[in-house]
Amino acid sequence: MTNPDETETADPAEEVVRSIAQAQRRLFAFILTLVRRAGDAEDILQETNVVLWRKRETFRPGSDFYAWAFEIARWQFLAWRSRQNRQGSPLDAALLCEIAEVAAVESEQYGRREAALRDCLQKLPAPQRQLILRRYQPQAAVNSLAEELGKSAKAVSESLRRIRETLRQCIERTLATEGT
Amino acid sequence: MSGTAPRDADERSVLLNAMAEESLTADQERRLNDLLRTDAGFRREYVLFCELLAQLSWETAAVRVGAVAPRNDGADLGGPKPPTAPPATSAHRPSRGRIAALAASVMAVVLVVAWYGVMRWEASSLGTISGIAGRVEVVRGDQPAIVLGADDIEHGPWPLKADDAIRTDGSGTAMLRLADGTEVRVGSDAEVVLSHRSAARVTLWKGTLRASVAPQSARRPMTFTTPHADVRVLGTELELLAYGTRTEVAVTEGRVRVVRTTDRAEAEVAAGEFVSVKDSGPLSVIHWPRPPDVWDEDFEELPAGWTGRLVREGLPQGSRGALKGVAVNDARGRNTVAESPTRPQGLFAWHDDSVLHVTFRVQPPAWFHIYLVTRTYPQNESPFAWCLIDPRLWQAQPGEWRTVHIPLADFRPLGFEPERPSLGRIPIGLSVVGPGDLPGIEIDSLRVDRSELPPDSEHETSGGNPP
Repeated sequence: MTNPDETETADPAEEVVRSIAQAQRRLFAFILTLVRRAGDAEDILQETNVVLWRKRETFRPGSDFYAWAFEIARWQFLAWRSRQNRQGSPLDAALLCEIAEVAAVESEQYGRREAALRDCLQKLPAPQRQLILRRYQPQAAVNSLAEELGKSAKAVSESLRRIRETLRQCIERTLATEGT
Repeated sequence: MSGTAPRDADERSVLLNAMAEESLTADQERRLNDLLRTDAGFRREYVLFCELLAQLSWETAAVRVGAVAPRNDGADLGGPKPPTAPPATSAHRPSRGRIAALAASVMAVVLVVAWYGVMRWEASSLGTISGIAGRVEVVRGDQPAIVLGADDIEHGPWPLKADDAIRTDGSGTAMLRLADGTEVRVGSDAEVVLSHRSAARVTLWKGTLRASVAPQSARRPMTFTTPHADVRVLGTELELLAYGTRTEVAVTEGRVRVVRTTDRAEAEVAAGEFVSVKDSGPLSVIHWPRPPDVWDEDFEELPAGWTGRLVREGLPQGSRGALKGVAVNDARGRNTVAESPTRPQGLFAWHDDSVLHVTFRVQPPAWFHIYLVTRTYPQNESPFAWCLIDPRLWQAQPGEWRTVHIPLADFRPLGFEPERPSLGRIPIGLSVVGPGDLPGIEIDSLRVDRSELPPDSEHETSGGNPP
């Protein structure tokens, strides 16, 4: 039995678009595992968004939106890689498939890890938090940060490595405490 | 991670962070990829690390674009204030705002869209691409084609889904392995679509394929479809061609039923038979003699019709004769040639796994090529030559006998493909050709069979021992 109110409000196309918008972070993370470079991942994400929108009719309401979106993102990545004459990724296609599968599975916990990351960022000492967030500002790179901070690039790299490691362990601990 | 030794963990951390900073050396990149291939635990670690990088990117992007960025939960980040922009020296492009802008524009589009349809997203796995030579395209739905090369399947096959199209260009071939074990070798300049409704179906839109079909259910046989015919197969080895206005079917093992699309006329085609299907006219089944899988020449005596002369000195241990090339003037110019006579019924059957074993020596070391002249199933077609050019064969020490094992798949078509392609690749002649002033190319034995290649052989060689 259909609820008339639901019929009025639940436009399937709107539902897909909302899903596309909500999926941006997870899609970006998924694509980054394949392409490794953030700039390239952004380009592929945009192409994926266009295709998701164009193919919205092929999405079956009630089925797994992320499985559908990741498959299209993976294909867009492969097409992008073909256009780059396969120079765009150091991984062979079979390994890419395996990584894509792991990424799709792990992505189910994306929201929990993202929430944990926010908490973990707050727990970092202020200088470390400043450094890691500055690293991800537009046009920021180790060399420019090193110059700004009056340190060697190697020292900044090592600091960033330790901070990421701290965050990674903190996220793991947080999820374990929550009882994964 | 808990089971990982600290040293390994350090190495992994260094590799992942070098990747994050886009500063991986070539050695580090190789090591990273090796770990990804061999260690499932590291694959997960890698994926989570990339996710962390993505989340860090989004966290800072969210601080910058504020209300524009789509958020999942609307939580207050409460993070640090964005600093002033550092000098522009990074590989990162200032485009993250585009993501949010695009998402917002997509949201806006929905307000003017009022229709929606439902189609099934079919994603069942049907088989894999297990072998590639040259360039192969895979097309899925209306998405852009992707290009695959041999290196893409070096570490594992490429999965195919229902209705994927596989296209080869003039130099490409692909080996498909279906879920039931059926193998389909797609020839060059071909297009094949795999599908599965009630039974597996392979559609050949153009080009040629050869298939070895696993035993099928009698009620639901696998079907090969071309623009002109359906070929129902219960388990057999066959070749199929779709070209212009005709389809050709040749059966090397088993039996198939061919049904013409235009009038549903049917014909049974058994091993050693061939049929050409056009839109009209009789479906005539032609018998072609199937040559043996194994062919041997040991040159203990000079076989009838061979070009060359018999030598009985300086032979490998246990041998009593070898064929020595002689200088001749032929269409290729003045060359040294050792050549079989032409046998229209075929010297041997050419299978995908056929291997040519040659024991030979060349004094002094010099170039030489091996040619195979083949004919098609229809007797009235012109012969076509295949050639093996491999400089590794030319590097013999003077006087050294060598045995090489050459997959016939390594032979390449000589010149252009025939204007009117036709099925069949029956070797009817073999020749070894070197320079005209080559004092001596001697062949102690030739053998073609379907044996496994020796391990680690790069066509490889085992030295024959002079007596």
